[in-house]
Amino acid sequence: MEYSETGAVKLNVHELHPLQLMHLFSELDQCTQRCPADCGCIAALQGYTEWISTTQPALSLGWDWAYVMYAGKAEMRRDGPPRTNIQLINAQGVVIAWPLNLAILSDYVDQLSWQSSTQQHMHAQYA
Amino acid sequence: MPPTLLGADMNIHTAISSQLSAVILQQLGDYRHRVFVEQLGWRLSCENALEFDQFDRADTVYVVARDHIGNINGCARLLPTTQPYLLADVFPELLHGAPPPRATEIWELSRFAAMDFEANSNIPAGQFSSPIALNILRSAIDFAQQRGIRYLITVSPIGVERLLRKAGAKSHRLGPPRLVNDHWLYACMIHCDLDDHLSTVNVGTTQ
Repeated sequence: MEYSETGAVKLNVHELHPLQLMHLFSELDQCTQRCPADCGCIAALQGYTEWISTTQPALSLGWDWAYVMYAGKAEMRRDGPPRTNIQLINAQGVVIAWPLNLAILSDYVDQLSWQSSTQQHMHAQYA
Repeated sequence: MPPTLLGADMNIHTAISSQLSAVILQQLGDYRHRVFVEQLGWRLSCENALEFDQFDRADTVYVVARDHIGNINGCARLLPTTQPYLLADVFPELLHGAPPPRATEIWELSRFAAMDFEANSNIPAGQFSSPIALNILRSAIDFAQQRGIRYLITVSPIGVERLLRKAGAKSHRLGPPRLVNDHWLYACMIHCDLDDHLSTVNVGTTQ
C-alpha cells in the first residue's frame, strides 16, 4: 500500500474484502447523552464507531450508527457513508472517484459484523 | 484584503498580520486566549493574556470575524505547509508515521473558533455548525481558491468531520484518530477545489 498525493492510503478494491478491522472506539452522540432521563422526548439512540486495520499504513474507517426498527426489532444500522483515509484504486491502478469510493466502502462496512463489538463497547462505557 | 461584508452584523478580514491594525491584532490575541485558554482549558504559554505562538509569523494568514461594533466573534489561522506548521511540528503522531505534507497547494487551518461572547452564545468553539463558523470556513476556502490552494489540513476533534460533511465540505483523513489528552483527534484534509463547495450551505441556519 502506498500514500496518494493527498495523504490517503491507496488500496486496490480487491484487497478490501480480505481486510481485517479492529474496533477502536465507539461513542453515543452528545445530544443523546445530554438528554435527561425524564425529558419526555422519544429516545433516539445514535452515535458513531471507529475501526482500524492492523496493516501498515493503518487504515481508518468510521461511520455513524443508529438504532432503527426492523421487522419489529431494534437493529443497529450504519447511518450515512463512512469517513476514511482509504482511497480505493481499480485493477489498473486508477483512483476511484470519491463518491464511488464511499459507496464501495459503505457496502464493505455493511458486510462486517461490527454491531456486536460496538454494542459491547457501548454497554461497557455507558451501562 | 478588504473585509468581506456578511450581512449587517458581521464582517470578515482575511489578511497577514502586517495588514491588520494593532487594535485588531490585540483583540485577536485576547479573543484566542479567552477561547482556547479560558474556555477550552488548553495549556498554552501566553504573555499578557494574549494567545500567540511560534506559528504566528509574518506569513501567517488570519481570518477574523467581527460583529457590527467590532468585537471579534470568530477566527482562524492559515499556515503554508512549506513552513513549520502545527500538524507537522506538534502533532506528527496523528500521521502514524507518514511524512507531513509539504506543498504550496496545501495549507493548514488552525486556531479555528466561533464563539460569540457578546451574544452569550453556547455554541462550542471550533465547531463548523454555527453561521459564524460556516462564514469563517467559507472565507478560508475562498482565500485558498484565490491562491490556488487545493487542500486545507486541520488537527481536529473527531466530531468535526461529521460537521464538515453536514456543511457540504469534502474531506478525508490522513490517518486513524488518536487519543491525545483524553480527546480523540485526527488529521483532516479539507478539499477546496470543488465547484459545489459550500455553495448550498445556508449560512443563516444552524445544524
